Amino acid sequence: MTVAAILVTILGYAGAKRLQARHASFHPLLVSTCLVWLIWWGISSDWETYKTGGEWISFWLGPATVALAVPLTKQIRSLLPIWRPVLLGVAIGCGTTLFSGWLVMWLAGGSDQLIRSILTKSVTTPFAVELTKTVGGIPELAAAFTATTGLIGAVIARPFLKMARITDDWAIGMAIGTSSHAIGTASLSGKSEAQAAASSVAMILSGIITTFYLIPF
Amino acid sequence: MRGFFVLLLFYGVGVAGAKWLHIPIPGNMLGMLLLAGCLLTGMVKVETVEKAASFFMRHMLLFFIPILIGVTAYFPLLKGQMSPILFALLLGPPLVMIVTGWIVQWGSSRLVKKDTEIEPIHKQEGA
Repeated sequence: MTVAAILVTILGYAGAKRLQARHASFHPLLVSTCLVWLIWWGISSDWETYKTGGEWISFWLGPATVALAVPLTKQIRSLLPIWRPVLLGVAIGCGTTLFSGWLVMWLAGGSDQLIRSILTKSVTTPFAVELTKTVGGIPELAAAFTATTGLIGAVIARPFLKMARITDDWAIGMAIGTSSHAIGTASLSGKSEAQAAASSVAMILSGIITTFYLIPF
Repeated sequence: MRGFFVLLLFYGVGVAGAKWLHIPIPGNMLGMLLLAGCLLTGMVKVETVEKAASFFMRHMLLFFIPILIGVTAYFPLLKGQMSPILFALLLGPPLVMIVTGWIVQWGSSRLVKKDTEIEPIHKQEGA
């Protein structure tokens, strides 16, 4: 049954990719998660077993995160001339996410565990999941909050940045990468390669910077 | 295939290093930083890991489906907290976009002005 869980996940993912190729508006993340959930619910609905199988797949998130070193080092040279505003912008952006998330949840009287799970919502999922473990939150919730944040960011990015008169390629990329990680970055590719490159660097930087913010906790 | 093993190796070293040295950084991030260091110093060639890396990044989504599926178990925990959560999630992206976007745009526009003044040197460097 463990093998079945692995197969169902891969099938759901492949199916969602197919669907996305035909209907661009279907986000593969939502579609594949729903598909996998439905199929498993139909054939077994034993979620403990699914979890065991799923761990075989989510393990690869580790090496996949290490792979981010490649785009980071490729872009680092073009980043050098403006590294100061970039680092400052990403660092303050990360601080804004952490502080606003904490403040809203604290004012609303959210449980400690919930607050600890929402802090990493702007960081790319593989980092968010691991960081949430280190601060004592729930990784599954963090993944869901992160995905939602990414989707919101991807939807509002274009009109919102235009309204805020942010027009510089670097600024647009950094704003999207810092606020809505890989999902925001993906919405840029195919439209502006410069912005997408800036965005992917921003999402990696924001992962690193957020880690340092969270060390005291 | 070699790139595949290099990524796994760095991940393993990152996880083990973070654990044994008690560094408060997640293992996967430590692995990434180590690989970035090795790529920058030329100890690992970009060509070695490039293909495996782009394969992993292309299919990143697949790897977190199981984690997202697991969220259903925590729905009871969210009860009664849905509105502050939604508010926090909706507030984050626009706030960060403005802050980061404005700082980077303001900073880089000042630097670009400087760049045009020293353009000849810049061109030489690029050649």
